[in-house]
Amino acid sequence: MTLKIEHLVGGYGQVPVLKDVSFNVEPGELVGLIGLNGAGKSTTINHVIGLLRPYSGTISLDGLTVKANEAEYKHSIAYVPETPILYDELTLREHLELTMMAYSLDPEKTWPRAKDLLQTFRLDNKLDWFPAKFSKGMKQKVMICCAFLHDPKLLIVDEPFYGLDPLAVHELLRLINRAKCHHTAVLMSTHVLDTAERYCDRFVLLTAGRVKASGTLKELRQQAHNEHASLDDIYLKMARDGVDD
Amino acid sequence: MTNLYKKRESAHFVMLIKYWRLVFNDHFVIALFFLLGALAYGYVGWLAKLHQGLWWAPLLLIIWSACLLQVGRLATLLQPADRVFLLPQSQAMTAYMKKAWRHSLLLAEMITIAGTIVALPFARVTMGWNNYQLAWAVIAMAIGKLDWLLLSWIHLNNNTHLAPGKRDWMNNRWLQSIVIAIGIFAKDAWAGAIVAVLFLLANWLEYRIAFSLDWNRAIDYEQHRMDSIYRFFNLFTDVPSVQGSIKRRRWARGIVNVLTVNGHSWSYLYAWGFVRNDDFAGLVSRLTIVAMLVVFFVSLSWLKWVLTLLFIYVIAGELTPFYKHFDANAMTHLFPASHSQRVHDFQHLTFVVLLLSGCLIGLASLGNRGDWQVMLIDIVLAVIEAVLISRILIPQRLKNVK
Repeated sequence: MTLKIEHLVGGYGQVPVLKDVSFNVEPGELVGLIGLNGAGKSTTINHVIGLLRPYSGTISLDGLTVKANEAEYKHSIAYVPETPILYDELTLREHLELTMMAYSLDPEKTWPRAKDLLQTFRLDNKLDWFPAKFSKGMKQKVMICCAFLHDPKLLIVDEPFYGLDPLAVHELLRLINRAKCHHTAVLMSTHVLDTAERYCDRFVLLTAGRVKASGTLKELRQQAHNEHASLDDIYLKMARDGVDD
Repeated sequence: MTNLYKKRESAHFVMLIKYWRLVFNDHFVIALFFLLGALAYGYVGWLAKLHQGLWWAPLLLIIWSACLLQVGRLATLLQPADRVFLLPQSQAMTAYMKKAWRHSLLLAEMITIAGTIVALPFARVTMGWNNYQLAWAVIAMAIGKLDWLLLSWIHLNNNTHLAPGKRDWMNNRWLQSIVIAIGIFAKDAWAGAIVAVLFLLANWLEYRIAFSLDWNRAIDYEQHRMDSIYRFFNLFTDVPSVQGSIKRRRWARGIVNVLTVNGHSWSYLYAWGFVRNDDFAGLVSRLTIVAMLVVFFVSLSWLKWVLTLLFIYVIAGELTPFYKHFDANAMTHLFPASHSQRVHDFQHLTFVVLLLSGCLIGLASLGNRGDWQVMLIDIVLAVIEAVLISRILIPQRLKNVK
């Protein structure tokens, strides 16, 4: 499924945070959403997952929109938030059961997959723990396990690497890669640019609510007139230019 | 640092005033006035029926005194961020803590002495004590409170020679309080005073050790204290910082199965949320118990029925805000479940909860006279009301909530 964002204007209050944002994420493609704090990355993601409604413009997933096809749209996406959000009242096992119910998954078929994920993130012996006992990294791992329990058409990962140990980062990237192989479109916002450079197929650089540049690393280098620049160099230059603007 | 305490103390006082104003509204003051009058009148009447030599009288006094000594804690007014921001000032925290300790002592002693004085007429009647013995009892209790607060101080000192694991056990404030109370009321008031002084000496030796604040322990202790204050205020008004505690309640799986519509995510979430969250489950069960007691003792049949209907209505009213309980969690908005399914699942929860409460209240309406016909009508009425509320009233209310 292709995520298509067209002329998106949106935000939280009267003054829009996003001003005419447009880009696509194709199936099997990992797009890195990059920008300074306050550039509008999380706002974009909140619009994509349907927590915010656009002032104008459209967000569609192969023609499906939150407004017209809410259940179908939400069924097709999985989201790993920047700050893990868990239910205080539910144990890890119950979080997984709830996810299975929410996405109408057959528990018998899904539990082996859940157990694989739990083992991967070393959570398999913590099934009866409440979120209050988990560290920040562990909570993030729970969110990842829940997101990868089903086969979403679009995976949205917001700043996934904070709080995760190197092993977990490696496993997450492996899972994202596997999802890509299953034609999942992946949108990832991050500040960890060297990892983004290695793993993302394309990049969208946001500055002050606008798309400053987008494309593959090669295309970004051409735009920056520097054939050997790293993503870090390009990003810093564009960010400074954006601030100067 | 003492200035910081003064500042915090006045801010704390302003906060308390704000809440006290809400607690002591006109109606409550009148109700309290009557309640205290009735209690005092009842106490005097009860004393007139008592005589010397009752075996349970010293026991009651021991329990009262030991509990009384637990009231009035060390108010440090420390905040979680202090362990980061004030860490460089750890040395200077001794002055802060001393100020806090002295302030707490004054208030705690007032409560202890007032509470002891309340029990003295009972001690005079049942134990035949003279004025000297009564005075010794007050002195012993006052020293007992001093012991208690010294223990609180030792508890927060990193330098105490007791290992952290042993600190709680050795410095058990309940243990000292019970021994002092036994000393006063099982032997004689002066014996209690001697015990209290011995504890005071032991605690004083420990108190003299140079103080180094145990940040984590002190902040946890203060949080716990503030939580109990907020929970009290939360009985009367909404306190934003109060969050119901979560209990595992393994035994409740059966109840959750009854409360859940098979395969519905919202229903599953509501069921576990309701059962494990002390706020809502606690409120509903307390109201049900009160209703059961009331309809049990009321003798008029029609009044039992009216009260049952009224209590079920109140329980439904208290349960309605639970609909939005998970709204702050963004993940719930991502569920591919429709709004109508969410409303349906909440209706199901409300219906089952009201049905269970209604049946229990109905059973209690059997009363001490055992009139099963009254009980039957009561249960039928409760079931009808549960159906009407969950089918008609709840969807209407939720429209407004949305």
